[in-house]
Amino acid sequence: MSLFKIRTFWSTHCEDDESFDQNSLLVTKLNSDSDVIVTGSHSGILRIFKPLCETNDSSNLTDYKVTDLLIETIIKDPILQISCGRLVSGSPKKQLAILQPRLVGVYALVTKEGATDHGVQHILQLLYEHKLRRSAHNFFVGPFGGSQSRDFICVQSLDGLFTFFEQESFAFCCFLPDFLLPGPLVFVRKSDSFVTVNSAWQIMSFKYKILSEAGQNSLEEDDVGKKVTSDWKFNLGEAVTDLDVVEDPSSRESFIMVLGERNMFCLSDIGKLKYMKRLDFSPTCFINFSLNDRIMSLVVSETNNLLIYQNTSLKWCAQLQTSPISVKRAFMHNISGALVFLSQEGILECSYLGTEPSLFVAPPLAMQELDFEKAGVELATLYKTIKNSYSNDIKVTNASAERELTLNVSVSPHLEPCTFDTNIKTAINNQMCSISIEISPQALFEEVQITLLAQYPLRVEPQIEFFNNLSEKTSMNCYAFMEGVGEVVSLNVEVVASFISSLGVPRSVTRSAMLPLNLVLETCPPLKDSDCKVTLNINQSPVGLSVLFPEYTFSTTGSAIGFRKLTAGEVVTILLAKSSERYRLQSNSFASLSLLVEQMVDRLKKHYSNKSDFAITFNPPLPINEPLQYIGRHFEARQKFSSLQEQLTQLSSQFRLIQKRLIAKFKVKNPTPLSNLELLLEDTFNEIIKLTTTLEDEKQQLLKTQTELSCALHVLANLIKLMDCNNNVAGLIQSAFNPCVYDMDGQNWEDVHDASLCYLLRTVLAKSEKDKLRAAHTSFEEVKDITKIEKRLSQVLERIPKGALLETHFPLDEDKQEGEDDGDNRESVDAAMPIGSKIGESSSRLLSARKGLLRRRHKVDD
Amino acid sequence: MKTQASTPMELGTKSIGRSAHTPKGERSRINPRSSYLILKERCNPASKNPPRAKASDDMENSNPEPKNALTENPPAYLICCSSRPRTSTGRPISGVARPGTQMRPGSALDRLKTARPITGQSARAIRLGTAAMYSHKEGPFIQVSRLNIAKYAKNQNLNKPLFEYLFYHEGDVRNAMELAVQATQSCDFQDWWWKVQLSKCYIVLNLIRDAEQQMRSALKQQYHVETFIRLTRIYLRLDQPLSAVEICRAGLEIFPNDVSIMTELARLYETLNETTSSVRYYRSIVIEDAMNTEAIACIGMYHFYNNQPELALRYYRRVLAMGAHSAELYNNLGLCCLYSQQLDLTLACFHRALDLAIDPLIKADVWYNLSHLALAAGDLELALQCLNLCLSSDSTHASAFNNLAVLHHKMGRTNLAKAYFTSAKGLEPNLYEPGVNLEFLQNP
Repeated sequence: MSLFKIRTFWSTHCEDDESFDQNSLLVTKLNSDSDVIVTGSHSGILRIFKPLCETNDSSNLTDYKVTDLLIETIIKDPILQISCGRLVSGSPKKQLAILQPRLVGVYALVTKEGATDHGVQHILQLLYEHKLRRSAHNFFVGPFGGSQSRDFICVQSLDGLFTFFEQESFAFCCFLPDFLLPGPLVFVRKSDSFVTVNSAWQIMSFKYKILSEAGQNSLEEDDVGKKVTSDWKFNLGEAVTDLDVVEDPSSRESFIMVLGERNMFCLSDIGKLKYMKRLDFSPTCFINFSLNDRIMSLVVSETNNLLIYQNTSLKWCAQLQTSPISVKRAFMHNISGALVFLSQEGILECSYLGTEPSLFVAPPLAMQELDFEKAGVELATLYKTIKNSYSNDIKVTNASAERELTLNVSVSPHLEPCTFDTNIKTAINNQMCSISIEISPQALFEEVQITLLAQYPLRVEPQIEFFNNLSEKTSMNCYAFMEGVGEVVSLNVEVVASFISSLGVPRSVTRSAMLPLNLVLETCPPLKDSDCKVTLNINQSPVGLSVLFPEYTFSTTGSAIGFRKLTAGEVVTILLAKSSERYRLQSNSFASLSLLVEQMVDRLKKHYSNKSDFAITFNPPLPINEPLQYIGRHFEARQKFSSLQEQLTQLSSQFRLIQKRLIAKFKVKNPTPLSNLELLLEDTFNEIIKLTTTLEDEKQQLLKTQTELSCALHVLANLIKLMDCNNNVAGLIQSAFNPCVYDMDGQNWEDVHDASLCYLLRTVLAKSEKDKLRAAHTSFEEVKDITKIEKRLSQVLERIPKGALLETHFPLDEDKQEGEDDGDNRESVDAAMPIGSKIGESSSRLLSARKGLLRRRHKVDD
Repeated sequence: MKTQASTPMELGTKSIGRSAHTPKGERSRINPRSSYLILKERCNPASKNPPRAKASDDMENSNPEPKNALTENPPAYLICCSSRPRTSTGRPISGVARPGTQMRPGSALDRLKTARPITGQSARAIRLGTAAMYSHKEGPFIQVSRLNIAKYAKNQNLNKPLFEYLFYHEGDVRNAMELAVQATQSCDFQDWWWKVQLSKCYIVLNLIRDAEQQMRSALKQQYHVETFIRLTRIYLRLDQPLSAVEICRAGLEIFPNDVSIMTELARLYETLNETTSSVRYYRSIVIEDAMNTEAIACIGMYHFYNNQPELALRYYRRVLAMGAHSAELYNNLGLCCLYSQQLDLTLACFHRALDLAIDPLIKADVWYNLSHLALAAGDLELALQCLNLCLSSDSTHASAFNNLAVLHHKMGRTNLAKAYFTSAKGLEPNLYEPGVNLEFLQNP
């Protein structure tokens, strides 16, 4: 990313299949007044270019011309590196040195002037060559040892041998210490030392003097030499891409520039860090020079940017067209300081930094012209679709579910012998009744699930039915029967259909039905006296019991009738007091009343359904002691059950521990005595079995107390319904007496019920303002003390007949009202055409334009 | 118009930065993972008692009792970007979302994939050469389980690359640390590099205090920009931002004007909620490195939230001119244009933003901001559609739920509004508006 692009004025490229690396490019004056560019490829082709760079008519620089290529020649082996220097003794001229894997060759470029431009001949003349015994990696040509007019060659081999040649003759060689892989090599003239990088990621400096002393009397054939010690080391901590030396002409100082993989470092010639720059990119190559006491670094990134730093500040950034592997500066005939880039594939470019920004132009979007008329129509239809399917309250309410799917539940009054397995021992006369359900969908539904719910000990089989791709009227049959022996809470069966509506919204439809009474009860002689009594008053002349219970046959005149469960239980007697319009239900067990209270209310209502002012009432006080007993029993059973569970947990972890011990003992190579562990294991096992049996029994007991508690609650709920407390909190109170008793792990029925009673006492049934101010009881805590809940329940039951003293607002009612408002609002909103226009009407200038448009459209419509 | 929670504020911004640096010792490359800011647009909780401006519509007039706990909706372009969205504790939420380290190619997940189980090589093959270094064509490059760590720890030519291989490629921190411990012993604790690596291992093992100790010891031996930054990060991990600032300052004394350290410091101040200091450092960064897109974008963001969208626009345009081309940038440009009244460009910018947004999260943010554009134009229906589209891309966008609820409430769909407020609250319990709005709906 950059504002600027580099401008290339001269470029050429080599043949196919050649490759270059960062040592393949050399820019040097080579005995002429302007720089020549020398490249040597891995295929052994050497080229020398001299860009002419004249300005043509339109003041542009001339591009590459054939005459710019001075010479192109093939040398047999790959060219590893090119350098130049005064390499012929006695001659002040510069020659080219070419490094090949096993050879250093020194060549002279000879020019034969011709009459015209194209008559000039260039010849590359081999002057001498040194054979190398070890494969070379790179080399450096320079005035080592302070020599003034001569340059020497130092070749670094792949295994760390430095070989020195003083012009035509071999000088000495020596090995580097602790060598693994060769790194870049530079020579610092000021300190007369070589700087290189070792595999431990350290910069090392070796004085030429020390090297030459170590290499004294060495022969070219030596395999081992004296190890040399380094002058200084700098621990860089990262691999190095390139090294460079910058000499500051004014301060006569030298700096070693290091291009690492992540950072760029500047070290002084004694190995002290001058500065470092963290690079946010991966660099590939760089070149440095000194300008006004500052070091300028030109770094090329992998993303083809050229970044120019003055010390650490970024001064320029330009985008490159190619990805160069090597960069150099060249001073040409007309242009000083051109940049020469060589890419890996051999594209050679001379460029300058263009100052004209090349602004980034985003690619055009593929947009088709809109036909506004058409688009408008399409938009309108889309809006309509969206509105219908999405943006109204239908989504969250269940109102339309009934319309989409109809459920018809019918219970047959005829009983059949039960064919299902039950827990009832005396199953001689166990019966079942069939329930048929008709499902008529109004549309295609992918998945519909029908669930039937009946409270224990009743059971419906099958409980769940699943329909796929339901589109036509379907029916299913199930059977209800007694599964166990407990008290029957209610004969109500709930049928729930859940499905995904055509709009993709989950919906459910619920229906309930009554099972026939004779499924569970039979008649028996009435009992005169019983412990628990419930009296129902009606405001019409009472009917005979035989009318109310037509399915049973008994003497029509009797004013009393007894019922008993088919599976044995307490007798419930119903007495009719003709004169006082009262029915009395009595039994020795409060729980047994549940079913008949429900039935009486149901049947009386049915019988008087044509009289509009008919009402059944119940006179306070509500029975308190009996429900409390059931709660106490349930609580006790539950406590016992949990303590048994806890014991079982302990025993089983003990069992596991013993097992582990035993396994460890068996695993040991030298067997040790079991030390009676096997006895312990067996003992624990028996203990567990015993406990499990007790737990099973206790579970049955718990189930029984649960059912009885449900019954008691059911009676209470029915009676509260009958009581004439005309406040709007009946729903809330009734919901607190939900006859379903669930005991979950970690949360008992008492915990939940205590919380809801508390809530009632502090809100709707509060006695004074003070009560209300107390923080509402919101958390469910485990009930430890049964007396508290007993106290609360009796308080609630006492206060219910008095009704709520304080008028309060309840979220529930609020909802209802809002729901109504809702409808109105929606209508009004719908009436105004586009919703948006109405709301923004007054606020926005933009809108006035829109409104104008609308008005015009309306006119057209009219 | 009774209630309104959403005062559109701000932008979803992302600025592309030159890669936020990852002091992980890996190579950081310039473009692919740019640091960016996503400033989510949020509703403004600030104006609880808004100017009860404009008699808006009939409903409002007929209902003069001040009903709002939520905020009135003045035309968006008037209030513009008055305040930056903040969390309930006052920290800016929309800020710079910088690339997480786990997204990097060498992340723990990737490494899990590359670390292959030991393949059953034949015994003969293993005995050839150095068993551990034997590389099989299909097998792992180095069999870590067979590595003689004690031997290689002493070889200083091999131990450093081997460590990086173990740490970054294999993700085998245990063995890497074993190597680091032995290597640092074999060089008599004289190599700062090993201390830094050891500290990296400690950080992975969550031994932060040990890591700090190693890092400080390394700094005593050699000053290095990366070491400073790593130490800063350690203090951030320990939740000691002031110590981190101190380290950065110390680093700046040794490496004056270092861009990496200043970036770290600027980000630090940003999280400390000292925007002015942060911007001061970003400005110094731009002086030192004019190509630093992160700094330019952050300065732009600062101006945007300081009610200077025109200035912000110039900064973002500079980023655009440098060649950044991303959904976030166009999104920010679009918002700047919107608030600086250059309405003709606004839609074009958002168009491009949508075109470029591939990541569903970013797409959601763009749609969210578009909904504010629609609100500014008064087109509530379009705003609704935008919010719905936002939610279809990112169904956990709490602010969108909140604003959708406000719009639905305006149209009288109280139950729907309640449901949306509840989901907004559930998705982001820290968000202020849904709670207030719900309360308002329940106790009018």
